[in-house]
Amino acid sequence: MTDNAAAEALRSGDPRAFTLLVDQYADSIYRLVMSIVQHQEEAEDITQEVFTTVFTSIGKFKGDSLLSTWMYRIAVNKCQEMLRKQSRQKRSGKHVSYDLAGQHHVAVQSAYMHPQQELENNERAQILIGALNQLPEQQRIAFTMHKIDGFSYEEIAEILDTSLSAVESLIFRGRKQLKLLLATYYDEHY
Amino acid sequence: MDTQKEQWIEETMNSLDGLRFTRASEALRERLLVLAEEVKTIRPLVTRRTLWMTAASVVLIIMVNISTVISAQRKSLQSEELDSSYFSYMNQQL
Repeated sequence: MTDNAAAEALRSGDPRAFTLLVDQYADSIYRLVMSIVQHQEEAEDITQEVFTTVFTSIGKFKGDSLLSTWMYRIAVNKCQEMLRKQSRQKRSGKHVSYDLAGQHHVAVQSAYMHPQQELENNERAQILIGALNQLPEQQRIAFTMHKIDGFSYEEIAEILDTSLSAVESLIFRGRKQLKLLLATYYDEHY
Repeated sequence: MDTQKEQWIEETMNSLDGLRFTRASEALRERLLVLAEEVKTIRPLVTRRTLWMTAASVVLIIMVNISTVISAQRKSLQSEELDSSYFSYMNQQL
């Protein structure tokens, strides 16, 4: 079913449309949320919230973008809400720390829980994810969407409702900052 | 920056390339399908758009009625004025 047809079917309350939407987008929404929040239970809760919003607010979908783009936008917004809430509450989790030269200890979330994650270079991925978590929110989200979820710059621009040049700049700055963080880590540990 | 360090940074930057994407668990999928069922049952029979269109139609009908009444009243006033001027002229003639 195409995006427009799916949106129309949802608006008209077609029972099959809801099931089809779950079949079609459950994985991709969950993956996106998971790559941003990096916690399985929270990712599942957010995914559920995303679908609740989609089901109840389909009337607000104007069709000026793809249905999938609209859904990803809702997902990113929910993730941002969660990250801001977390940062406000300074919720404690399972953490390990590593040194950044000339800086204070930085807490890095150790439990990056991709259940089926199979990485040859798991240790390095953990280091990269630790550094990723130090980036400003927008840089982190844009970089994650591109690097982990495989979205193109154009898709990210549409989902984040921003310009292509802004996305390019976010990812460029994110990459630069990551390299600096990794260089510092290397100096400390090797 | 020495070559070894640069290589390490580059390799670490690419360390997520082999990441296997996760899938939504069966439990989550079930939750979403249950949610879809619940939303279907509480979904209003009339959409918001239809509701607004109905309200706009009612307002339009009321406005058309008001304007018709006003224009009818004007016509009747004009006709009364014409009648009275005609009869006053006739009275003068008599």
